[in-house]
Amino acid sequence: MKRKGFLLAIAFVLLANVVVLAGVAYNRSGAPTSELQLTAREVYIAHSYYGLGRENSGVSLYLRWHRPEGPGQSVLNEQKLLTIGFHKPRAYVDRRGWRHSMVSRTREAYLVLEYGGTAWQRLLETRRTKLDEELKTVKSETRRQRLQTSFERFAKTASRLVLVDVGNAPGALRARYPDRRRYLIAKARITAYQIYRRNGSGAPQPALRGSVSRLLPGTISVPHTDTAAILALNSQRYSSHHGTPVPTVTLAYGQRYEPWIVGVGKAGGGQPATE
Amino acid sequence: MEQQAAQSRADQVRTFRVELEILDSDDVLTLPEQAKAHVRGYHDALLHAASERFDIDTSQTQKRLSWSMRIASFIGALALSAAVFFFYRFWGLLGTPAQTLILVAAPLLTTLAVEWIARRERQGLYFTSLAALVAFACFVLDLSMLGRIFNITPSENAFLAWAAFGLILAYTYGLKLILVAGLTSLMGYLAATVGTWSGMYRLSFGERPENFVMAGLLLFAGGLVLPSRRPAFAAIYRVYGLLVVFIAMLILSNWGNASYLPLSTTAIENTYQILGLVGSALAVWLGIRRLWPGQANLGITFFVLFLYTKLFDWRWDWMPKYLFFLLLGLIAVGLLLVLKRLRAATREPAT
Repeated sequence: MKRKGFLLAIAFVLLANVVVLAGVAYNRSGAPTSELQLTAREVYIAHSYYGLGRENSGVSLYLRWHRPEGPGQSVLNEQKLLTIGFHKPRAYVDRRGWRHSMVSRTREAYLVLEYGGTAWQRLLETRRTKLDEELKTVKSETRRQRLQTSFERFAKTASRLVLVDVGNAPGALRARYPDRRRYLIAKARITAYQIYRRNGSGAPQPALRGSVSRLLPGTISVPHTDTAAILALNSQRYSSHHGTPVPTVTLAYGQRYEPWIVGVGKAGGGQPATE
Repeated sequence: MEQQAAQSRADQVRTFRVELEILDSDDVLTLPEQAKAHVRGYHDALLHAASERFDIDTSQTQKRLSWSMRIASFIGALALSAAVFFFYRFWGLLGTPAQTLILVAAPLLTTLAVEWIARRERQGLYFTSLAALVAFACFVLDLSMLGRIFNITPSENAFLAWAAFGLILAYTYGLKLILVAGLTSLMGYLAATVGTWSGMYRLSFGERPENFVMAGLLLFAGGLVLPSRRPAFAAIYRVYGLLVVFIAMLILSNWGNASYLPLSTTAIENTYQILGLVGSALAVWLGIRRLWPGQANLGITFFVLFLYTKLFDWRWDWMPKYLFFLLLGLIAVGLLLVLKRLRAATREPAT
C-alpha cells in the first residue's frame, strides 16, 4: 500500500508539472494574439517595498494604462457590465438601511487596450480642455505653471495604453479590433459595485458601476536574461528622447491570453507600431 | 494489529496493572503469585512485541515525551516549510530553465525523502510528518512559482492539485497534519467552484461566506460516508467541515451584506442566526449520540458563540451591564443543566 501511494505521489507531481508546462507551450505556440512594442511609459517594475515580497529577488513588470475620461466616455458603464454577465442589483430596505442583492461582484472578462491611438489622443484632448478651464479660474502664476507642467509631463511620459472595450469573447473583440500590434487583448478581473441615486420620491435607486481590479496575471515575470536591460529601461523613464531610438519591451500574449516578454530592444522615436 | 490498536492495548495493560495493585492493597482481590507471574509474563511479552513492531509508548513518561515530540515536529515542519517559501530570495539569480528544474525537482526529492524516512520510522511518524509537510510546501511552491514565471492566469485548479497531493501523502503514511493541509486546499477548490456557479471571478470566493458553507457541508458529509478504516481521519473531515460551516454562518449572522440571498440584511442575519443555533445544537446532539467528543465540543462552542453574539447585538445597549452579565451567567447555568441531563441519558449501565 505504502509503495503504491509513494509511486502515485511521484507520478502525480510529474503529471501536474507536465500539465502546467504543456499549457505554457500551448500558450506560446502559433502567432501571438497580441504583440506590442512598449516603452518605459507603459511598463513599470513591480516593486515590493513591504511584506514578504521584499524577499523576492526576481523582477516583474506591470502595465500602466488609462481609462477614457470625460462625459459619456466610460467603457464599464451599466450596459456593458450587464452584457458581460453582471446582474442589476435589487434594493431591499430594512431597519439597517438599504442593501443590494448582487449575485456576483467580480467577474473575469477580456479588455481591449489601445496603444497610442485615437483613444490616447482623445484622452489628451480631454485633459487639455480640463487644463484650459482650470487655467481660466486660477490666478496664481506658480499654480498655473504647475498645472501646465503637470499636463506636459503627462503628455510626454504617461502610458499611451487606453481602455477601449470589454467583453466575454476574445475572438469577437479581435474581429472588432484586428490590429494585433495596436490593440492588446488581455484577461482582467472586473469589479462591479452599486451606487444609489434617489429618485423623485426620495427612494434609493440602485445602479451599476464597474472598475478593472487588475489585469490577469497582474504582473509579468522578467526572464533572467532580460533583467539588466529592463532595469536600465526603467531608469530611463523620464529621459527625453525627441525622436532618438528609445528602449522598448516587446510583449506578446498567446493562445490563452497569457503574456511573456519576447525581448528588449530599441525602436525609432518610441512610436507605436501598427500592422 | 495496527499501531493505534497496539497503543490502546498497551494503555489498557498499564491501567489494568495499576488497578490490580489497588485491589491487592485494599484486600479486594489478591491473585496467587503464580497467576500474577503468569499474567505479568503474558503482558510483558505483549508489550515487548508491540513495542518492537510499532515502537509504542509503554509508560506514562514515554507518552508525555511523545506529545512533546509531536509538538516539536509540528513547529519544525512549519518552520522548514516557511524556509522553502523564502527560497525565492535567490530567484533573480537563476535562469528560467534552472528555476523550472528546481521547482519540479523539489517536491519529487522531498517525496522520496518522505518514503525513505517512513521506512525507518516505526512509531509516531514525527520525522515523516515533518518531511511530508515540507514536500507539500515544495509542491505548493512548485505550481505557484511556475504560474509566476510563465505568467499563467491564476486558477482554482491549483487548489485541487495541492489537495490531491496532500491526500495521497496523508493516506499513504497516515499523517493527520497533511490531511488537514490537503483538506484546506480542497476547501479552497470547492469554495471557488461554488463561487463560479454564480459567474463570480474564481479567486474571489472569499467574498461570499456561503461558498464555504457548501464546501464545509461536503467535507462533513465525506466524514460520514467515507470508509471508516481510519476513524481519526473521518473525525478530522467532520470537525473541519463543521468548523468551516459554523465560521461562515457566524460571519453571515453578523454581516448579512455578504450573502447571496436576495433578502434584506436583517432577514439574512436572522436566518443565519437561527440556522447557526439549530445547526450547532444538532452537532452537539449527533456528537453525543455517536460518541464523537470533538464534534460535540465544537457544537457547544458555536452554540454559545451564536447565542452570545446575538445577545450582545440585541441587549448590550439598553440593558444595565450587571443584568446583561447576569443573563449570560444564567444561560451558561441553563446550558450546563441541559448537558448534564444529556450526559446522564447517555450513561451506560454499571452492571
